[in-house]
Amino acid sequence: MSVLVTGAGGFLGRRVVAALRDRGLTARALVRRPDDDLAAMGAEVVVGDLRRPVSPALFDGVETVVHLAAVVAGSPGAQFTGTVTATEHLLAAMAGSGVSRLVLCSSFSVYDWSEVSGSLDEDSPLEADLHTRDGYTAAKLWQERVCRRAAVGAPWTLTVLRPGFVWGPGNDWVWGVGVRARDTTVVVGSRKPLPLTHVDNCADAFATVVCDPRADGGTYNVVDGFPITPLDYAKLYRAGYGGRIVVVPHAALRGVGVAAAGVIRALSGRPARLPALFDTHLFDARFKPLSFPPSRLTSTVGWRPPHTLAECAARTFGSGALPSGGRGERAATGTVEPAG
Amino acid sequence: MTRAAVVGTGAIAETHLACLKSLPDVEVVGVVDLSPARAEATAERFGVRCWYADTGTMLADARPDAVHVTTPPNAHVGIALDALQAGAHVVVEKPVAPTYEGWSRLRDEARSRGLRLIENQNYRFAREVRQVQRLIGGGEFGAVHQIDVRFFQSIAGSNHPFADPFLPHPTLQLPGGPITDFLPHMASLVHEFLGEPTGVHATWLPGEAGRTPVPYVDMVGTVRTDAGLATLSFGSRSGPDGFWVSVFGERAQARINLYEGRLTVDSLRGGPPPLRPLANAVAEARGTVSSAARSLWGKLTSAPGSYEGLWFLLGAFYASLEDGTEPPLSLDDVDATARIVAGLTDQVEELR
Repeated sequence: MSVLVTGAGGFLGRRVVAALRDRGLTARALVRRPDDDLAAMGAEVVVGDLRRPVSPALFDGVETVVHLAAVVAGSPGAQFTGTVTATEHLLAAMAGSGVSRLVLCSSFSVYDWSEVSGSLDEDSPLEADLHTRDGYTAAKLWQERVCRRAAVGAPWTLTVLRPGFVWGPGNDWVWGVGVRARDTTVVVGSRKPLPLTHVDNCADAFATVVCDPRADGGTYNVVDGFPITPLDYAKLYRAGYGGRIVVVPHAALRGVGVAAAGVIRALSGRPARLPALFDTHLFDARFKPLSFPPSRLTSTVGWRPPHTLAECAARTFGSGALPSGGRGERAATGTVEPAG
Repeated sequence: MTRAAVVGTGAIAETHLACLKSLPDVEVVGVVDLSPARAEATAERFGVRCWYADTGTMLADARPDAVHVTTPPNAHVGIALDALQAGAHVVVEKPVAPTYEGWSRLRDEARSRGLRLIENQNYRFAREVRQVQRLIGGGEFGAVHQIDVRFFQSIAGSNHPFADPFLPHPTLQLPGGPITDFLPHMASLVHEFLGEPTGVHATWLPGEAGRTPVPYVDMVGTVRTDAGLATLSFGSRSGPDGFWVSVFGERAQARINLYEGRLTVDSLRGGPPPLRPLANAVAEARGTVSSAARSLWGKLTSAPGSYEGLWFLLGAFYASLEDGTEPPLSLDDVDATARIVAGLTDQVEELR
């Protein structure tokens, strides 16, 4: 089986190529610039940029496409172009090819966190009011929408993975923890669970889906299920980088946003446009205390994250980042609940 | 009710659409983008009923009274011509055309059909510019003989879309490259304060080959008019980003920070001469604090910010369509601006 991986030069992409290699699969890696590391992994490196139309020859001999390419920084317009228009180009070139499966990397951000109460799972409502969210969320939602529409009646199946907060070496700050200011980490709400997935575990989930046809056509959240809170994570981060930690109660900070929005709306008669930290809808999408059941991949194909929290912490922050006797156990299999 | 359509759905199109949605007698009947998803997403966001992936279908189906062309500059002329030939008035983003010849075709088409055609010259209508014009009109400045327009924008850095090595930016095809994308704003202010150009000169500094795809990184120009002289400069290597215009009259001088909406005026004041610096400083401090507070409040309340002039321009444009009165910008106004831009970019050709 030949697998095309888009965005293969990215943080998650190169791990997915490695995970496929570990399963004996050779990837065709679509990247923006030549990449010797990917070539050394045995990948067939193809240079291209999906923001421009691509040749159908990209799919020659390809059965499965793992679509990871996205633009996650810059203006909302740049993110839309690099994520959604890029997907339109991918699908246009893919039409008429022999591809039988498309595995799309979506995101936890597509959910309407303000509407969810209790636990967030694959059936939770998606964000309906896109322009109230950031450019990343709008782009990921539209990317899913474009793929789902194209999949109707197509000769290929669509499988969607929605990773939680992906962390690992080179991307070791998790935005659901709080805010960093110089050497201080301000933790927002210390006891809620974090929907983390380490990049190596996440890549394993993608490789699992590629290799197991039982996962075909499904939508799966990807979370490791580690019982780790924002404060725990901030301590890991501190072990790696030093600095100090300040904890701000979730309700207090959200209350400030609610009050500020109310005052501005009352005085101006217009909707308030506040920084993300004080915009309650954006705040919810980042910090709302929810529980996160194990991925439906667990019940469908028996997937469990292969690396423990201790292993992930060591890979990310160096050995000794996680105190002994801590939470080095293999991923939880039950729902991770808020601790109060 | 005037029927409007928008072709091209990038960031500036969203500003046009936000403004159009605020106008009570305007209905947006269609948006167009080559990317269907982008067209649909924009239509959904702004509550527009119809979206299209090509302009011809939109013109035939939606039959707009006015078309906003907000695509990359190299597509402006073709789309604007199609719209004019379909009988629609046209608002084109700056630069109205990549070349003066392109603009001339549009101008002649609009004139022969009796249709309105304007370029977005929003800074000409910025609150602070209007304020200075009122002071000049009231005689407080005396005659104005000089202005200085300075633009600072870090367009050559690898993180800037203009310098994206993987996706060549459309403005790289303009004579002078991305800097020319900003010249109409600068030229419009020269025309606003000093009138018709009679002579234009410029010096362009090339970018370092291999370090940036941007062909020119700095530009300094001068414009002569019957009223006086203007200096214009664009710097991509000086920060922070900003857009400044200084207006020098016989009795007063104004300095406007157009990005931040800040205006300070120094004038010949009465009273003891030793106290005049203090009086000027107090006036400047008051102006700075009030503009900073207004800017912050604007940001918190979804106000148009530095695009406030576009709201004014489009409001006046659609009012003129409704009333049959003169538009806020005439073909001659846009022509004068286009001649200044052409004069500045002519020097680019000589360098090459």
